[in-house]
Amino acid sequence: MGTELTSALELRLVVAGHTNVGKTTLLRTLGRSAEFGEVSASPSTTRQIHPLTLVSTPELRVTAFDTPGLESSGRLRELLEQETHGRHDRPAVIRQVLDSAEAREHFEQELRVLRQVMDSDVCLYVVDAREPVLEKYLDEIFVLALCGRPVLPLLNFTATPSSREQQWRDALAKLGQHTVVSFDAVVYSWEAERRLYRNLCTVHPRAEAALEGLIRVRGEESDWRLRGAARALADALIDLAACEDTAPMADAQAIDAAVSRIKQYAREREERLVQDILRAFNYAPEVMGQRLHSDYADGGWRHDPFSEDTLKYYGIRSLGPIAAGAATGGTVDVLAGGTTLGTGVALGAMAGLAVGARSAMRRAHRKLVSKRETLCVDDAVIRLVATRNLQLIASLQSRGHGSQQRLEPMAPGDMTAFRRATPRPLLQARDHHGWSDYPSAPAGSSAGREQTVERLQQQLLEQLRRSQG
Amino acid sequence: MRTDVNGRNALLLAWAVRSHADGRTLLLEDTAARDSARQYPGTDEARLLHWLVQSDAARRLQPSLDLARGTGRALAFVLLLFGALGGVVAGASALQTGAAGVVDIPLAALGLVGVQLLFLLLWLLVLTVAFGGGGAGPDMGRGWPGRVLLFLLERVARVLPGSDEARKDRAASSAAVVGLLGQGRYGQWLLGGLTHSVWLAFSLGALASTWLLLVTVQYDFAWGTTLLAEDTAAGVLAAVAWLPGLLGLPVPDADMVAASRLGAAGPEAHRQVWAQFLLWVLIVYGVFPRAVLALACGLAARRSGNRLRLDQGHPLFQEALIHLRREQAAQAPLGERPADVLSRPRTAPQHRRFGAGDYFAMVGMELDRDDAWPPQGSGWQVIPMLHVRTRADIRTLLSDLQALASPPRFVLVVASLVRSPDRGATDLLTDIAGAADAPVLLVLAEAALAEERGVDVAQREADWRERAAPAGVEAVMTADWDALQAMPQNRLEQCLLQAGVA
Repeated sequence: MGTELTSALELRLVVAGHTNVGKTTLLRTLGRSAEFGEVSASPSTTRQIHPLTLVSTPELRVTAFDTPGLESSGRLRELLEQETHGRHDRPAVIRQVLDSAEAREHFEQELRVLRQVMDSDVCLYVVDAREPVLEKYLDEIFVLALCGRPVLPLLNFTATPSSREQQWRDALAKLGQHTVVSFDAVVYSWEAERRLYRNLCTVHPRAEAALEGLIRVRGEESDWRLRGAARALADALIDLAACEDTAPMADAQAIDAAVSRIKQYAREREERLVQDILRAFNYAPEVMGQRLHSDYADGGWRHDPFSEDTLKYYGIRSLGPIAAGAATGGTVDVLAGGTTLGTGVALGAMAGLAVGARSAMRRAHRKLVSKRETLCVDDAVIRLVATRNLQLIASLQSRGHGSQQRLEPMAPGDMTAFRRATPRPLLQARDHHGWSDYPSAPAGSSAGREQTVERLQQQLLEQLRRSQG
Repeated sequence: MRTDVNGRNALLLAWAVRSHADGRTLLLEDTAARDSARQYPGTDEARLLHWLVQSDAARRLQPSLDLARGTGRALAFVLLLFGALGGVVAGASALQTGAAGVVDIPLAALGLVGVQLLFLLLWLLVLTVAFGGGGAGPDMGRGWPGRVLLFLLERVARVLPGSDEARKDRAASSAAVVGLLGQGRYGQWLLGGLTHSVWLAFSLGALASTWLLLVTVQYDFAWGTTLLAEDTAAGVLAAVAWLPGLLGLPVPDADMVAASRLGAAGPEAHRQVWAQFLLWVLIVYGVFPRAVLALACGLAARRSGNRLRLDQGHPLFQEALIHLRREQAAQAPLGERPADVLSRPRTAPQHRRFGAGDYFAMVGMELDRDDAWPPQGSGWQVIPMLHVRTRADIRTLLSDLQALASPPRFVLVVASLVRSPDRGATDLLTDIAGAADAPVLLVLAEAALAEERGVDVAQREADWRERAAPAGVEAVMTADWDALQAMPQNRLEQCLLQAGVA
């Protein structure tokens, strides 16, 4: 490795900086891996050079290297200044210093970093923008620049109110570092990531093709993540809308048992949904699930979806005991712990009446001929599941993989799903009991379900994209 | 293995696996194929497809996929055959439109090209709406053609003998064919290509039967009208003849048209020109546009087919990607693990006795608030020294400490919990202890600010304590700015006394 790239589309990117400025956090976010490296408040958590492949294809390979934190740059600068004084070929001098026993004894950690910088194409120098501009940080940039590789300062944690971004930009400009990029590894945005790669092109134009390739791959992945999460949500909502159970009208115990079954199913289905959403964002559910959200614990949402309080909390108006088929007065909805049992009411102007006609007739037949009640999940509960998981997807979209913070719920009323009307795909699902994976559901047409899921997925994606402006 | 990673067959296989009742098990539990995919160089999509084509699922589903595709092709062939037969019948019927042995020219032309031109117009209209208005035209995957195709494929899958597993495979393969056709505009172009091909077959069938009859049977040609004026009816014939005439083909002139009027000189006049005219009308308005459109749709379908991508957003493939990416995050670090930095501290002086001076020295170390330095303690006998932030500050500080007439009773160093105890900081503590020749009391301040930044303050304090001891610090305490200023000197000394300083 020298100043030449090993091939036109190979790039080695080293991430350096003071200890505890968020280098590993940054790489977790850029690498979409919450498990990469080790992050802690203690210094020297990263002790070795850790490679992370950002993209690897036959045409393009971009590898980032996480490095130990720089801790004693002031003394190292004095040593290197002394050695390089009056010399033009500074990288050659640095190589000599790297080999000296004295330097290895005092600056082992720093020398590892410098060696990796010299073996790489470009260096990303990470700054905690909340920090005051201390001389030791500026010394670090000076030392890194002696290696003869382009250095791009990256201001991390710029989304916080205590950020000193402008002070840093001014200080770096005085050092001749006019290209500086802001990228908050915790509060993620794809736009900011793209800007980071474009700035890397500016400081290292020969890597432009590789970085453009990386932008393309990452852009596609970003799109797939969102689509995957929306797909998981659509899948679960169709399952919930289609599921139904029956029990003899005269047997209160059997009705209670059916209510319990269907509620249990809905809770478990939502748990699976969250796992699918986490997978879509490349989080291992078993790891991330424990520190996901302030309203999430032990693999499930704390607020029960069948509680009126939860509906109020998420700003969803309870629709009362209605669901497809209520026009016949024969449907019992599973809501609020079964308090609506036996209160089937006329549906009136419910939008799905025509679509749900077949289902309503089936239920009426059950009631009149078989003397059985039909139970299904209420629209309000489905809206709740849709709303809070849409909020989760939107939050994960702007969460860096390096973030250690739990997500907080949005304000009630934010991103409420299906504000105007129940979407047609859900109304169709009401007619197709076989589309649900509810245990007693009959086999249904997978292709018909697939098409309905896709339509609902598109609607959810539109809402997510609208919310992101 | 017949499938290749980038081919349409691999995408079809992906659809079949995701549609299969046991798809998750078939794919995710095939660890050999997964391990092979982990080693495969390429994008996520390429690695997923590699996993699919290498899996047992591919071997299991390939026969049913071939069957589903074969059924689809057979259906297309039957449609083409019906089209051609329809054309033959239409051609023969077109020549029976007048009295015995007399062909009614307008009716024959209408029978041969009129209906298909109407359908062509409809197709263009739908295409304009689909592309211009952003709506969806007839869709082989999601629309009624898809449903019809799926219905037929499912019926074929069901009536064929086999085990439950074979039925599941056939159902998944049928869904895969329809699902793949529903991707992008691939199915629409394919449907377009098929309909134009059927009409092309119709036109060719009609051309063949018409030509054969015109060669072997003698017909007279005539035209007539009851409702229209003669000029108008003649104008319609002239309009039909306009395009063939433009192309330099033999068309009847105005005299011939007039001569062929029923009741005129005789329908037998110019029969050869009229026969050629009918054949050319069929070629120009039937065969040629359909051939061009069938070819164009075929090319567009091929282009759309080449652009088809694996739907990585599907939960099954998202889960598969998690398995693939775990390997990526688990790369081994480079180089040997270094010795613990704490195991090789610089030789730090130990000061177990208070200094001879009756004052203490106070040093600030990289504090966030530099405007408030030094803290104003009441009743303190103190020499406030620098708030150190640069190497020049350090040199001045050490020089000032060494220049003191007698060593201070102790040195109070105020550091920030916002900063972690890096080696530069611990080296400085060691240097201060050496230069002052007195015990060092380290006060950790700015805990609230550290908390505000999300620092684990307890861990940070533990880190400072752990690193301060080998650096020559005798005692460590935490205090915010106000608490420190309110603290009497003897309380500070008490800390050192408790640490064993005498």
